[in-house]
Amino acid sequence: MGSEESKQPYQKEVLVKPEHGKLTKDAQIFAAVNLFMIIAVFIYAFSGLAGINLPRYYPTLNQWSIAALEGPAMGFFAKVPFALIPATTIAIIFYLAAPWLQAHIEIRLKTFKNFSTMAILFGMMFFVVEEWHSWGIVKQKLEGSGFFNAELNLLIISTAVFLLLGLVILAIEKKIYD
Amino acid sequence: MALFLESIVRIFFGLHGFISIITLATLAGGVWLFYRRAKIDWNAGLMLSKIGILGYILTFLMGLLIYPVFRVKVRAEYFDPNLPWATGLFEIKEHIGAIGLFIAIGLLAYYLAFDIGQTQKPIRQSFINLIFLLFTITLFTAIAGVILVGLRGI
Repeated sequence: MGSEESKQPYQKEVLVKPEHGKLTKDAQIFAAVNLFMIIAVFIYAFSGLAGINLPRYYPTLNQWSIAALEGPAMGFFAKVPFALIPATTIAIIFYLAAPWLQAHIEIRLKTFKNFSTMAILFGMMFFVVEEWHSWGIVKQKLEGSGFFNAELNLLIISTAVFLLLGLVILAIEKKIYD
Repeated sequence: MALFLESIVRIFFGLHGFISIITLATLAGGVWLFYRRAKIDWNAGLMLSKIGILGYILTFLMGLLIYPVFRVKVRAEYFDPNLPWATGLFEIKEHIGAIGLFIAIGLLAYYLAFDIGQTQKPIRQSFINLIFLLFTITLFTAIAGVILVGLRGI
């Protein structure tokens, strides 16, 4: 015991990351825009899954209603702004709070780039599986009782498409920046 | 009772199809130029992509205008009772199309906020990823649209 290190005075643990204070404007904007896309996709996907009672437009009645009415209903017109409005709000709040937030959470370009890419891929495949299961299998009475059924085929195909899209994205990134 | 824009829906339907073709072509061109020429020149790809993104948003808006008539005259009267898989295909088109709208808005923000051709590598990578995804969504929705119109048009 006689090293220089052992004679160093005790240093209080630094709680703030070394990057603190170095958040660039570009990173602040980039993270907020990507957060917008992430939140929009998330709310758009899960509002249906959660069973949110959004107003629906009934074209044959030319009427909006949350309660069910006669005739075909259209939920799409409310579903899109229901995702856009909170996504925009959260992104703006995040942008304003980012200089303070960066001391407590990781705000890096690559992190948010990868998050948003995956959120979009997940969102896309979520609807492929959900809607095809409902309309392409159940309503067509193609459900199978065994393990090897139409639902398994749907999962295999959607997984393959998901992987393929991911691989293509990775290949594009490599091609351009090699 | 006449449906919303029923008397002129074919005009918007035609515009929806026409602008979508331009969108698809420009996004494809943008992706191709980025893939082949990104190390040399970003400008051509950026210009084509911007046209594609604006075209996408316009196509989406045209789709909203024709949707009420489609919902009744095509989907409720024909697809739902006779071809539920076609309704499924349309639903996928609709939802993926909405995700495309979120991407398009995000990309427009990139154009406003960054000098994309000169900015940091992760931002440029993100831009290309998103353009590719938007192109993929446009391609899928275009193919789905052609199939659906082939089954029953407005």
